[in-house]
Amino acid sequence: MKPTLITCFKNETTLVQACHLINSLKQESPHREIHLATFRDLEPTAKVVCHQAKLHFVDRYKIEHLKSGALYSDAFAVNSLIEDINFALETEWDKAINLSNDDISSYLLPLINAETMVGSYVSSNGSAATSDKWASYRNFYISQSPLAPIEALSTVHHSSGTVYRREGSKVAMKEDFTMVANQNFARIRASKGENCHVIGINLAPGHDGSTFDFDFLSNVVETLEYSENFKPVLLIGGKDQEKAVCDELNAQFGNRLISINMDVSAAPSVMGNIDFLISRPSTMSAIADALDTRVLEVSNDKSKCLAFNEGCFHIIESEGPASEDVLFVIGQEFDEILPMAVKNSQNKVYARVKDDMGLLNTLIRGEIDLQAELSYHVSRCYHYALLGYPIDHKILQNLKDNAPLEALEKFCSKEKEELVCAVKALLNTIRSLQAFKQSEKNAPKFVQYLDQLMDFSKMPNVAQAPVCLFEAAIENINSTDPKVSLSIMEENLYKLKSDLQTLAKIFEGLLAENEAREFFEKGL
Amino acid sequence: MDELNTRKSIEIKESRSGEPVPVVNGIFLHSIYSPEKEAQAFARDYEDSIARRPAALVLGLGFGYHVQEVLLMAKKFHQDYAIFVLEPNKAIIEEFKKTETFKKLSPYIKIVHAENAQSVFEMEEFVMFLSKKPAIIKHDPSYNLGRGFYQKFLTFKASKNVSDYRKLLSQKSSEMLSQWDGSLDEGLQAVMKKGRIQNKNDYFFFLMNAVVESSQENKHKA
Repeated sequence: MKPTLITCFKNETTLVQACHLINSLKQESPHREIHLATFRDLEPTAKVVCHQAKLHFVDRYKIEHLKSGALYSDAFAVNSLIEDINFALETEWDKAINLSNDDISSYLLPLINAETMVGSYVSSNGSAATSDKWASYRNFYISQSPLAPIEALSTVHHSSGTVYRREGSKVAMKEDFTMVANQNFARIRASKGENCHVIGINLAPGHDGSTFDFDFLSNVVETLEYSENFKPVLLIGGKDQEKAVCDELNAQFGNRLISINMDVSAAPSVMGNIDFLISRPSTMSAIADALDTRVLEVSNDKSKCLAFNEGCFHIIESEGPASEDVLFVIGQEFDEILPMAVKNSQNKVYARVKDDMGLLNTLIRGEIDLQAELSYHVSRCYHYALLGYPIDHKILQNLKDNAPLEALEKFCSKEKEELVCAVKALLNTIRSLQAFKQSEKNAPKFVQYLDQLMDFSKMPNVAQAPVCLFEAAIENINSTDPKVSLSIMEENLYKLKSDLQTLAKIFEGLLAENEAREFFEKGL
Repeated sequence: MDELNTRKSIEIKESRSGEPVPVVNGIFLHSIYSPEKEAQAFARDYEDSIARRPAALVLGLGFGYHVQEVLLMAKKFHQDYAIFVLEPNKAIIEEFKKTETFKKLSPYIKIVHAENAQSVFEMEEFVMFLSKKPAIIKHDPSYNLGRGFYQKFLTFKASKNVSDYRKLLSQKSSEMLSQWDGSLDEGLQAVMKKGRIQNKNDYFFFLMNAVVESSQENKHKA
């Protein structure tokens, strides 16, 4: 069996997520040889989270320094880059997977010999080609809509022809660190009795640079420290700012708090010993998630959340103390009553749950924005349908049963308005294409309508996803024969028409009197 | 010629403190009283640079007294410290190798000799060393003696054209750029202008550009 190459030339947090794909592929086929290529400066993290793969590194700083320096011949930069990627050039691969959807991978994949390229890559006509619909969704839709209902990690699993597998050894744990961590945490637990739950609080900044404010930390730590069965443990990464916060907290609590200083190589041993982690979205929260430790990420932006697994939580801060929401989640998770100052919250708390299609976020606390919830669940159902799944009538029936008819009508009415505009643009494009086929002088009109249609791929509306997939199909046209290109375009315009009709059907089904299952089985 | 190869013009004199001092064309390369004390003062002048940088490039070898003191100074701040010494005068290098100082220093320093500034920048080991951004330490007597060479070295600009540096490319690199003689940036522009990838190796221009941009972007964020 030829080996599989995964390329990840983006950032540390994307690299951590690589461990999920590597694990899924390994679980499916334990003898498969997997190689991972990433940046040299990400080596410490790669060794921890991609330990099931053979690692290769590109030293971008060295190459850039050599290329940019007026003193140095570019020969050295070229030699350096070739040396770093030579393993990929010399090997015949079964699959080459552009995991992080980055530019470097897009140019590297066409240079190597792989039976299958997975993800996006640059085609010979210079456009962004994609291997399949999932990769198209990732490259053309998610890149513009970070809050897409289907996450990038799900799409890359589908593109790679595998399913997400939670079980397996995703993260390397160093034996010596683990031994020490096990001993220390046993002592910590013993200090509060056999029912003690250890709650880790990560003081390091998130990947967007955000940190917890002192009041948040003080409130959470105080409640947990004085509770019967919880023990908070402060986790710091060694930076002065984190140490200062830790010292200030400790001073407040008579120096009784426990803090642990850890780098990325020690993090797995620590994360594997805690029962729950509270963190800004960061490499550490992603590592904890990969270790199956329950994670609660607190952020002001849902698109920044990284914890992927079922059983994790995201708190999206807007107003009011997120600390109360944290205590709510912890109390709920461990079936304990924790004192809370505020019963209701302006913030939104989501739990990660799973259904037949995959993982999703469900709102468990905070004011329900019914329109937003309908939009999320209907979009999710629709997007999976665009990507080949059957329409999940159970979800739609659930919405019909639980949302007031008024809300459903308002939602469908607003969405249909936007849909009508998209359909108009589509029909204009189809008509102008027919006119173009009759006479070339109709070309400018066709191009104009096509441009107007493509504009919908950039607008955050209901038609954005299917138009993005249409755009992807057009970019994938690699023929130099105008007749062939036009024919493919026409085929895809009718495909888009069918996709928009499916959406219209979904709206109809939501408002129909009969049950969703009956409606869709009859209607489609 | 940049290089000073005249053996006849080198004399070795003994300092008051007993150390050998090379004299080239009547110019003393170290103090005739105490080369060691002079070298200690020399190293103190560069203490800041030595502390801040992970390596040093010394312009001028002499008989290495100043290099020895730079190394001692560096040990205060760094566990490992690389020192390259650039010396265009082959005769000085050969005389230096006969000294006790050479025996002490040789495991820790690298002497680089070149006929001209261009050939220095064709040495891969030296270029990789320069990429670490070492402190530049000028030994004035040596510098003044080889002023022409050192000035060309310090103002050197490498040619960006593949045709000029093809001999420096590895076999694989040369194969990748076999169809192109201009600069990498020009290569990228040329492929973009064509609007189509006609040769698989054309992707390499884009790849190099993407790697460079990624590094610059990440440095900017940091």
